[in-house]
Amino acid sequence: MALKTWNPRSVSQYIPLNISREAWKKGDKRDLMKQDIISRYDQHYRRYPFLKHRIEKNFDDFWRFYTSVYGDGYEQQRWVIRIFDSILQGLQDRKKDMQQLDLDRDANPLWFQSEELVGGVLYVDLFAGDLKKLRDKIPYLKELGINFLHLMPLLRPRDGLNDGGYAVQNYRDVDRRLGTYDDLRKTSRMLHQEGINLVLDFVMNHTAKEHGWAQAAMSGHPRYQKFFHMFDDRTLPDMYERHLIEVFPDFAPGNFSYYPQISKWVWTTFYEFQWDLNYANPDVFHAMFDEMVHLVNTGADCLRLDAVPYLWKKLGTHCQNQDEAHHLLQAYRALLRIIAPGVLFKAEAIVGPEEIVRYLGSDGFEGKECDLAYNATLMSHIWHAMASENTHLLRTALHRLPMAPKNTSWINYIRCHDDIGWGISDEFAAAVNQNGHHTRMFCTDFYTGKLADSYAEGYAFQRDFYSGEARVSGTMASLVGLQKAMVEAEDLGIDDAIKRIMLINNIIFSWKGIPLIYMGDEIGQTNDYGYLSNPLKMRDNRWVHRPPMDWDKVELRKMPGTIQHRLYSEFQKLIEARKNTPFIHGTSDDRLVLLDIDSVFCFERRLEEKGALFLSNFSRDPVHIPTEMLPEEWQYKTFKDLYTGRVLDFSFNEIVLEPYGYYWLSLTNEKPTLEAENTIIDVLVETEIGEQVYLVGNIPELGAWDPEKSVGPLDPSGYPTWEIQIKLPANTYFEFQWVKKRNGHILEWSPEKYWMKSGDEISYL
Amino acid sequence: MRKPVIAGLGEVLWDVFPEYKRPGGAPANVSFHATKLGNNGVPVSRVGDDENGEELLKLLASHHLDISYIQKDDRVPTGTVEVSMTNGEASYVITDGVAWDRLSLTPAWQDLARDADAVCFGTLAQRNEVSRRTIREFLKLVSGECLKIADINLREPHYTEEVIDTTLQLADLVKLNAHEWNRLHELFGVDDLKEWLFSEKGVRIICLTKGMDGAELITPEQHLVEPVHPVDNTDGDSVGVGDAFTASLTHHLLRNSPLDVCISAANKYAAQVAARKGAMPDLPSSVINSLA
Repeated sequence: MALKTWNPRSVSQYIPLNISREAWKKGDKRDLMKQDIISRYDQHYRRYPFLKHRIEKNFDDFWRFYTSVYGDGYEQQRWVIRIFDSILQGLQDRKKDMQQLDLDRDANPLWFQSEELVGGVLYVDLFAGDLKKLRDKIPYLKELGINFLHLMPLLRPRDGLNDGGYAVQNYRDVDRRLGTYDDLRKTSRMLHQEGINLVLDFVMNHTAKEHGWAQAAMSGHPRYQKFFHMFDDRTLPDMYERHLIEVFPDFAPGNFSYYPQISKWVWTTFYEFQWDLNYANPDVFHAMFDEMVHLVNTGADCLRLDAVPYLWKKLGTHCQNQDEAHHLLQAYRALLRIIAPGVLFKAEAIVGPEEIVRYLGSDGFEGKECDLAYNATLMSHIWHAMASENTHLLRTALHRLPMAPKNTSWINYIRCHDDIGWGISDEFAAAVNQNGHHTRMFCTDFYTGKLADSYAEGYAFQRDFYSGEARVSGTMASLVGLQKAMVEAEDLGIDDAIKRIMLINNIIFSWKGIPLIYMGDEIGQTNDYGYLSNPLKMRDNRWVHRPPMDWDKVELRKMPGTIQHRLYSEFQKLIEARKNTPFIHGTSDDRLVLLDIDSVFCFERRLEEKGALFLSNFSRDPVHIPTEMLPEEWQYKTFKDLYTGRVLDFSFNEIVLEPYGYYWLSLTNEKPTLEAENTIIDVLVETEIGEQVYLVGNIPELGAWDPEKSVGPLDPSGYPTWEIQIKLPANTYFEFQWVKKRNGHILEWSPEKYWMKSGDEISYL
Repeated sequence: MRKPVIAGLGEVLWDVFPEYKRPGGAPANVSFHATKLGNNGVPVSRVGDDENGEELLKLLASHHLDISYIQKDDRVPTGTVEVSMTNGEASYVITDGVAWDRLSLTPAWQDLARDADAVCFGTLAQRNEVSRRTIREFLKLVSGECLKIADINLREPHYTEEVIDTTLQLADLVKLNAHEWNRLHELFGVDDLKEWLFSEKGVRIICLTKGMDGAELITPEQHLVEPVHPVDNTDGDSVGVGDAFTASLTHHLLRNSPLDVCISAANKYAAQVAARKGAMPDLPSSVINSLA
């Protein structure tokens, strides 16, 4: 058996110091420490030629942030040396291929900005069963095009309730139901062989109360009692509590729990069984760094840092987003750059937009904290835009959301394992003349199906007693109306739902960042009500959107005509399109384009003089965008749609978007393909005997608005529908009207103009 | 919650003193203490179909140990050790050809092996070909997650170099005392015994007990030294203290306690046992609770 416990290389062990107190007092402490560290590892530079350079490069950042939390006292040296010993130990355990990957990525630090990256997230047990079976599913992930895979928590959780795996009992062991630590390493190796990056959770804010440290604290070991926030009486907890917020008011009220065995109050922000670690103790910093290194050495390419806003507690504040929390992350980031520069940090910080961006580094330290952060703002506002068919709030939020620094990126997602929180601020709502509370209530009501025109099948989660606002649970397919349409067997409803799915996904696939598919969404998995019969889960309706992967349904993806096939192939197309669009690279220059059309969301991404314009229509009706409404450089009528690869001709100077339609346009010199498409045009005209119906339109084939050159007459065999089948240039959007003629004389023009696309069968007013 | 299964594999026997006798054998002692600490401690051994065997089983059962894995042998007697005192020095004669020399791998034992979270075994029980084979087969059956603890016991003439070598190979944790440490040096003639054990033999932890000087825990990365825990041991004896130490250490390793906690808890527990008479003393629940 491998040793699965933390090795406290530590306090009992005496570390001789090379620097005298005198020198420490007078000299530049950072430089002294740096030189000392560099000389201590002299003998290892032969084996790790990169080590010295990496220490030189990153030590200053580490020292700045480490000492800003822990101070630069003389004794602090011992902790720093212990930390660097851990780095060395970690390097010795690090496999050769990982070290090579580190070197490659160190040379190309923007590797994760690539448009090639497409993320997926899954629960190993729900998706495949266990780690071994997951390995058999790798071909499926590859087929879809996933290459950035987040496996939901799989380290050994406590028994019983475990907050979905976020109560870790041992960071060096894997959940027994999923396999062993060796299984994890093997899976990671196989994923790498297939070019898939692995993301693992690192739950750094708290451990389960069954963790070795917590157990030791519980049996009275003073060293480990200092690992947690422990109080002898209610004095301090009461003082803290005055400013704290409850995360799970329904399940776990209060932020402190009492343990009579040791007569102490312990800080438990989330559940009673999750003890918050005390990062004010350098011992904890070092111990968690050890655990981090250990986890990174399984081959993870990215660590998802859980609940980072809560790391630092300060009396008189709500103990979130404290400066020290940022400094801790920055210190860890610098350290990890020394041992494994190829590993990313992904911040899970579901906080306001201004606060989120700070986790990507700020004030000159951009990219020196976390490399990735969840874009919760985009997520919640997309849902709002779809419900309201109005993109003003989405635009405002994204406009006000500070740009992610160039060397960092977003994780863009539509759904994840959690509920949807309506992170719509009062301020943003006010900016578009809405009331924040009403807007949030609208979202809650819409997605829980309370509104008359709602298609959604979602459930309220953790409703706030006072405001009535609630978060929403439900799978993507159920929230966009696919479930309802399927139950009611509404073909048109199914079509619309699929269009809505692709519309919202097109945004996360084209907006700056890495898109993340909640696996199962690609085949439209609907709500799962099985949790209601499980006493451990029934109170938590988030299980409704955690269905086990239905592999029979997955098989249907190969059968044309099924919903699974339609969705899956659309997703494949989307992924393909993203990978072929260079402007989606994270270093592009992006700007929002504000159009005076409520339902249209438009933005531009430029890379080296060239660019693409991304247009999405959130309305269930088609929209016209006169080209003169677009920025000057986009005022053309022929574009290449990067999404479909076709050259589109908007022949009448209006870009038309179908209901829930979207384009990824780029300028092109190519002409529309000349090959003709058979187009059937139907018009509904009431006529009298002897009258005939002709068509005239803006393109030459339809007479270029010259009624003398109109085509027809149309075939009245389906009267009152008149029909004609003509060959038109492909991919052309054109306008037309019908004209009623008797003996060659025009009697009447259609009161409206129609438009349609050649090859289609639907025309729009 | 499932209790961790700690199997004590090897000899059970009676220590026969001139005036009285009492149960002995590391496996029995270890499983006794493991059970006390809240695990499922299982003695895995063999007794004869005789009065000694019957008595031994009764005694173990009275301590709430699971005796279903103790086999009965109708051909040879239960193991005994004759202890004679000459000039205050105890000398031992370990009887040959007894029940625990004939351990056999039954299907029940095979199931137990697959279930076990930890197995404690020793070198003494491997003196006979039959038991040696059984013990090795048993250890081959355990899961990859199982912790294998070897108690090195160099008592002439009950060991050979081959037995020691294979035992080290099989073990994750090796427990020995200072005398045995030196003896290993001589036996295998290696300069850096520590390094040799870690890299050649695949040992993960070395536990070195030094009697009144405390104990040391050595892993490839570090060296933890724990002084002896002071207790009033005027009424106690040192019988079974090492086994108590092993049990407590195993208990804490299975709970993934930090190593410094493991060794200090084991040391304190051993001290409590040293302060009392016999290898299976009654420990007050306050002691158990604070050290479990």
